[in-house]
Amino acid sequence: MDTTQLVKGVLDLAVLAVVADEDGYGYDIVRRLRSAGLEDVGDASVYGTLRRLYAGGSLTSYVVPSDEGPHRKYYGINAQGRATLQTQGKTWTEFARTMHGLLDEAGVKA
Amino acid sequence: MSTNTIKMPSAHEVNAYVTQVRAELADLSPDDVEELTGGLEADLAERVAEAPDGLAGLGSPAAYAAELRSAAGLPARSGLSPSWWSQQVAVFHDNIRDLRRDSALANEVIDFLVKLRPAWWVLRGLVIAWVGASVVGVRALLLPLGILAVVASVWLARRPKVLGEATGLLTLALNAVAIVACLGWWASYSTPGDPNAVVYGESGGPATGLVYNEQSVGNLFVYDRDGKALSDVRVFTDRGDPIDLRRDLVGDDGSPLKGPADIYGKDWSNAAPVVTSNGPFGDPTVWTPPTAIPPLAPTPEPSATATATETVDPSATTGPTDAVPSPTTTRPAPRPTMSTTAPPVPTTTR
Repeated sequence: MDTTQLVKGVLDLAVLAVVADEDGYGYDIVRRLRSAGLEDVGDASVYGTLRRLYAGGSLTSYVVPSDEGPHRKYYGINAQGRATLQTQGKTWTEFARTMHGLLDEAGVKA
Repeated sequence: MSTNTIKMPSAHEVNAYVTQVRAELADLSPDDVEELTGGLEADLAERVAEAPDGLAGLGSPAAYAAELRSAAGLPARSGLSPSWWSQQVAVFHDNIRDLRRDSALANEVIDFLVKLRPAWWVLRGLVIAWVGASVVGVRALLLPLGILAVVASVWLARRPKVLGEATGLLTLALNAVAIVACLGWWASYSTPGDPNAVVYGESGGPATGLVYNEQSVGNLFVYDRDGKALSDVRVFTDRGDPIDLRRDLVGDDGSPLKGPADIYGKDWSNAAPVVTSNGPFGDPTVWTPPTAIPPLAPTPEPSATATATETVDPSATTGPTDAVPSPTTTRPAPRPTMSTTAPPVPTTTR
């Protein structure tokens, strides 16, 4: 099964989860997602998701100027983002449990 | 912070890639494009320095842009390829970005100019209105046109979605008109004139209107030898050009002010002085023309012509100056030397 399709459905949740601990810039967040195991995540998908979450009011954004290179844009989570993370996280956990039980009955071992 | 020590092995390639991505997004509003690609150079430079496949791992700029759009929930690109205009806009924005990055001074100057933009929107509207009122030639339109144009100019600056890509072209055109008008205006005020020279320039030339000692002349007042103010005197330059004193004036109804007509119906816009419904045209706080000035001293009797001539202009008796006023006449006083009806003036001999 192509995990790219699966990732698409949960990318919002995944991005909110990795910025929940610490603010980060685009590529930093890509890197955190990959090191967490989502290796198929596309750079542009993450940037687009960040933008959409920002536009939706779940993230804050600020620019950090740099003396040596181009400026960086950081994203951080806010109260609304944390609330979204909670509700979507609950939905996902229930969904995953359902899938797990379904596969368990079919004799599939993780 | 480790993020400030980025290796940039191919900054130029990264910038080119980002420029192409931005060009693919050019149909979006500048804010959206900035939102999607702000800081992308730094991120990609870091990625290129880290990943073995470098930029190649990202795919084509078009594919990258499409992925950005779909993940951000923005509509797919409407056209097939970026238009020429949107590419120019993308390149321009990219140049500004490079300039900001390369020079702290340029960065400050650009920030300052960005702050001044609202003032420019208002000025642009006023100048466009002024140009419009001048083209139509109705000065009374200046106020309503001005209000309308300022509102429209500010509205345009907010990049209304209904105009789509025409916004950029319209902005460019209006900015060009406003800048050219401002430059023309400035040039017409700053062109130094020849001292003592009377300049009657063509419109668009170095100077327009009548200029004397570098000062614009709005009206001419003429007195006869008895010191009486004359009206409707028609004035010509030494090139035979009528000195049009009414060129920029409008009447009470807003239409261009015309001079009196002759018996054939031709308007004489060079009839001086110009009199408006408020009195003679000019600034009464600077100078109010008297109705009369001291008359000239009585002229000698015709019998004394020969001797008088010799005292005034000795060369006139020897030179072939028959019926021509002497060029050595000392002052251009209001003395009707060319008038055939005036009393004889002893400047020539027969």
